[in-house]
Amino acid sequence: MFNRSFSLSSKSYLPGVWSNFNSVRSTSLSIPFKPTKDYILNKTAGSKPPSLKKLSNKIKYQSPEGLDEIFKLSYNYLENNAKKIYDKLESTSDLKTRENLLIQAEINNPEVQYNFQYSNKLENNPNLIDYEQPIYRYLGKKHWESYSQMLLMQRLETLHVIPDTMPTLDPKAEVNVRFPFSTGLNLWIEPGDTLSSNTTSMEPSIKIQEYDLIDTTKQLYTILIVNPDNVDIENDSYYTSLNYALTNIKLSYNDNIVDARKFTNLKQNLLVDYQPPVPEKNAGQQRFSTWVFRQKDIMNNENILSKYANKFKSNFNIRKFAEYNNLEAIGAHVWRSEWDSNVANVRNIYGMPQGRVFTRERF
Amino acid sequence: MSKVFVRFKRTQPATAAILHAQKMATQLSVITASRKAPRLLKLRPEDLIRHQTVTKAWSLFQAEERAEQEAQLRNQYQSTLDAVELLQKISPRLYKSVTTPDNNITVFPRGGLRTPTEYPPTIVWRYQIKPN
Amino acid sequence: MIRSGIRTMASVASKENTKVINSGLILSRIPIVTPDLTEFEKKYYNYQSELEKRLMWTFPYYFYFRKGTLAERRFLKAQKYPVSKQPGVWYPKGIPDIRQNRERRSKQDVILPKEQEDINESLEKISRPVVPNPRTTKADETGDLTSLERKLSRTLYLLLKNKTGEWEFPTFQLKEDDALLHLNAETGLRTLGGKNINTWTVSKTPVAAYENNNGSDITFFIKSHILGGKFDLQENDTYSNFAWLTKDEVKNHIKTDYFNKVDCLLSKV
Repeated sequence: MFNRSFSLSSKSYLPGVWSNFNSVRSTSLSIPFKPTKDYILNKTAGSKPPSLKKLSNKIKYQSPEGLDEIFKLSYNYLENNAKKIYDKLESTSDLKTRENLLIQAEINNPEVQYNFQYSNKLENNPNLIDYEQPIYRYLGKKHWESYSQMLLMQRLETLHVIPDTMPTLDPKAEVNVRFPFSTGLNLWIEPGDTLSSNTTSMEPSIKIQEYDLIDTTKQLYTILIVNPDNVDIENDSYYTSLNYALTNIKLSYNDNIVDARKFTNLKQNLLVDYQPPVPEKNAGQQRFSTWVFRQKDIMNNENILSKYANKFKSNFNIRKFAEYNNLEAIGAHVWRSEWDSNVANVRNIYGMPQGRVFTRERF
Repeated sequence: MSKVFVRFKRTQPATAAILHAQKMATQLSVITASRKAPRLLKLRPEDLIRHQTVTKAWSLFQAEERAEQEAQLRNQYQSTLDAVELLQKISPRLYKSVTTPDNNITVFPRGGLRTPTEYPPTIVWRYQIKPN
Repeated sequence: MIRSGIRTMASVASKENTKVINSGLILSRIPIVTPDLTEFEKKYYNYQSELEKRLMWTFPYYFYFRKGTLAERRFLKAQKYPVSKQPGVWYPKGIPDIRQNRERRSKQDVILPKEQEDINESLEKISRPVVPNPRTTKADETGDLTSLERKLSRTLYLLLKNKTGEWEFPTFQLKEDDALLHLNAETGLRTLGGKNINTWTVSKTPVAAYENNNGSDITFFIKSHILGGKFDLQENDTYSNFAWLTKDEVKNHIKTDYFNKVDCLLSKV
């Protein structure tokens, strides 16, 4: 029809693509809490938002006038559009195109938007934010790019982690670092934070959130923590040490926190055991940068150890290591450490020699 | 001794100044938000999502309309082009006549075309034209 | 498709080319009222205006009505005032937040005092209440296709029914040697529909070409608007009937390939 028609009432199919939860459609694309879902999708005249708990608040609250009527039409319109995209999806086989279409089909779904906007994106509940779904990966990536990614790049650049370790970084995966609770700080640390030696005395857990379309059953990851600020008195310089190295780590979109549970096979996964930061007195701050790489193929740790073990501690070249092993840097993180009164204790626990004390005059 | 009662003493200059000041105050008050701004509109998450959905649907709807219009314009241009090219093949004389600029014809009609209004005028259509 | 009798006289065309050239006229009556809104648009505009009212500043009545005047008193009398805040009273819907007689948490209804209604409304009286004319007319009710007053919100196009019973846009053959497309169409329209018509031809460039009878008969369309007067079908031997139709109706009246040619030229509003 040429008349300005608005296609919605003419085609009514039940249920719509967004509410037809058959075996294919993930339940994470729906709001699990029923009152909220009911309120958003089928609000009746008198009902109040379930996020309001107190009765007095419920009585006071008024949602905008005219919203109920227009919402129904808008929802049907968007759902109709989504149906067209799903129809197109059936005749598409290319994975990238399919991913794009799936994103387009769900991005305007209010339930998806609600789940994403109002739940924890970092420690995600797969019932709400399921990163297996392309739409959540897309939204997650946009959210990451809007702040955390920029913050990370700024910290990496101002602290000169780039180019002191790797030449540059094209960030593709979100990397977050947290130290275990027993050390007193149970937070995801912000890139560039200065941490006490007590906090960093045990190995961190590292969360690697992939947003790209990858084959999670095959993809392996390498994680390196390097410290480029070890004092090298002989050469009046600094050298890089490798403080932690994990290889052949397998991740999935939702279960991606790398800690002791993740590397069961020590020989294959643990290349270098964790060496906690033990900065020496008056030697200034040291940067501990975490680098995450995608592997091209499986790495043979015994080979690497037999060849380069002596270099890890005193003269590690992360660029050559990455090049030699065909590693692609996808994410990074950095924290700083400096000498404090607890360093001696940490050295004791790990059986390290006593640290030096630097003064202005060398003797 | 004579008493002079000045009952309605005219104090024209002073009153005028006050009136002027009052007028200024009123006019300033009209254009400032103080005491006139309503409370901030605070939406609950659920309603915010509903609002976003409506806004999104509207923008998509508008984009669709716009795309349709652009496609129509493109087709119109193509149609004109095809017609003129065909005319060139068939009749060079007519082709020349339609492609030579002529100011007389492009002049917008005197009296103009009526802009559509929400409701029709009392006399919907003028059936009698003035003879030239 | 038509006029086999006319085509035999195609002397001009045969000089230049073997093809018969016609000039067609797409004569339109532009909408008189604004387009009808869809349900979606109506509700969206309603929602937006409600939001705007809610966020609007308080109406500064003191600017429009001077203090102490009758007009001010009438205006203030017509207003509905919100519940005011009293000490020691429990308000279930929240404590009133009133400034300048406006509840700040909701929209303000500004009520204009009603004018005294005059029983004998005469057109001369300036203060008579404004009553808009209806958007549908008598022609819509009776279904009169020849009226220019039908479907005020849509663009109407003039269609003619020829002797073979088919509908088409007015088509006129170029007969003289020096005939021009748009002039031929204009004079043709006036011989067919009478002198009492005022049109504006937008351009002398044809907007579309339609080849008929295996390409031996070509119609070049010229666009034009009717500004005044009316089309009154005169006695002739080509056309028997005429109608002013919207795009949808045009589609139902003419052949599909003919319609496809002019599809993009017709407005959907």
